[in-house]
Amino acid sequence: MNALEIKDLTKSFGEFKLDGLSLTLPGGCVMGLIGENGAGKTTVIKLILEILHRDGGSVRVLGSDGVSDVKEDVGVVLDEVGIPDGLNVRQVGKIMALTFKNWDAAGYDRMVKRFELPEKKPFKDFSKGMRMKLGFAVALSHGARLLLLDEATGGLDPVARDEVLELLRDFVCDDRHSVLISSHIVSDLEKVCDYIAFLHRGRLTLCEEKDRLLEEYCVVHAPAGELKKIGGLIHKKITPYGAEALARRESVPSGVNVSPVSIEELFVLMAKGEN
Amino acid sequence: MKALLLKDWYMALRYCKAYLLIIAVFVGISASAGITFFYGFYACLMAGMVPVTLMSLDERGKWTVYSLTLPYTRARLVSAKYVFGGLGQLAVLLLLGITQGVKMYLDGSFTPVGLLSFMSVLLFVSCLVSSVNLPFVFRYGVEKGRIWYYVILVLSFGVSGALGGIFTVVGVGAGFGAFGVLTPVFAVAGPGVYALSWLLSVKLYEKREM
Repeated sequence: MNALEIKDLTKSFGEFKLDGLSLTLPGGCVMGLIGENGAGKTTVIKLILEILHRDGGSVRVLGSDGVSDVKEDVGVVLDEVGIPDGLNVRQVGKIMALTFKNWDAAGYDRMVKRFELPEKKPFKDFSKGMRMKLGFAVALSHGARLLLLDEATGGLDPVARDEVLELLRDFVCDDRHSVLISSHIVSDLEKVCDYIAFLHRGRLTLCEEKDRLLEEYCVVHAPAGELKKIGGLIHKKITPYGAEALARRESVPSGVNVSPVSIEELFVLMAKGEN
Repeated sequence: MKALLLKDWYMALRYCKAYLLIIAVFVGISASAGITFFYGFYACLMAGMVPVTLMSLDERGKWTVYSLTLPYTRARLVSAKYVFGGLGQLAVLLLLGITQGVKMYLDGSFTPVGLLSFMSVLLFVSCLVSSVNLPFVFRYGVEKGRIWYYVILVLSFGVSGALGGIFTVVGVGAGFGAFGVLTPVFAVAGPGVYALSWLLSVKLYEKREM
């Protein structure tokens, strides 16, 4: 079963338009939603969660029309988490125990201990990293099958980010679990994602298996003059020291100097190419 | 609902202690001062402000967005605030009823109809203020809704001041006794308006985007 099926999703406000977005997240997979600030990543996640009302299109979550019927099975961590400032870890646990039918109090306690979160300190006094960790502790303590993470690693130090990525790897060890994670820290996504979706100015420009992307694309290195002879280049970067361009491997003639592309390079060059 | 009420209770304990103090002071003044209606009304108004303050904290902490990712419906989120605010106002109203009853008894103006009228007018006015205010807050958020709140506040203070003035002249018992015929109307209309406002807020909150 697909964890997410989005078809022709549209939403406009002001000058922004999410333009007929379609994507599918297969069960048991991690998909990274990559895009510049303002590309529409948060809008997509809010539309999935029905925090925003869509103008058109459809969203199926865990086989259900819309998220309403399956909220118990969806764990969410947002950029600003959203736990009320005055609550402490214990109080959050009590509230969530009354919120979720499948609340795992022992699992929550384990998670709190693992993250070394202070039990009596109010949330407002937590660091950004601690806030995120509490968000993850809640999201992973009610038997969620799908995690939706919006910039959940942003603002974290490298050690905290690594811990969060470790958590995600543990979560998807169970092949019934899926994750959609939006971020512009592409290196994080490269470490954990099976699928990568590029969002650019409200349009999905690419949605593909990560390994396939890395196989299909490469960076061409050549003098500026020679680059002009190669077709199918996506974006050229010319400096006084030479030139490089993003290209599909199949369109590069043999004998041309190429190097593998990282997801980060792919994202940057594609975004520049689109611009 | 229990989860949301518990959350609001924890937040109120942390952030709304000042309201409790103000309410206690105004109930006290109401029991001892001449112009009783104004202070009683003010105490009810303070209790009615608690849900708005909690919503302001919810908005500032992004709970309004996060709560929509949890298994609560929008109707339930609205209802929790109405229940919490309603219970708070009811508690203050009962407290005022007891203190006013004692006061009327001591100054010899006690009549059951007079006390019931006092409580029903207070119930009606405090329900009315919350009922007009809350849908705006649910539709536009606390910041924008606050402007409307101040308009309501000024108007209601005017009305309560006028009522207070009348009762000072004619006496509290007599003043509310004059409303005796309307007591059942006020007693039903207050909660009725509150219920309509509740439904309206649910409708408005369903449409709101965060």
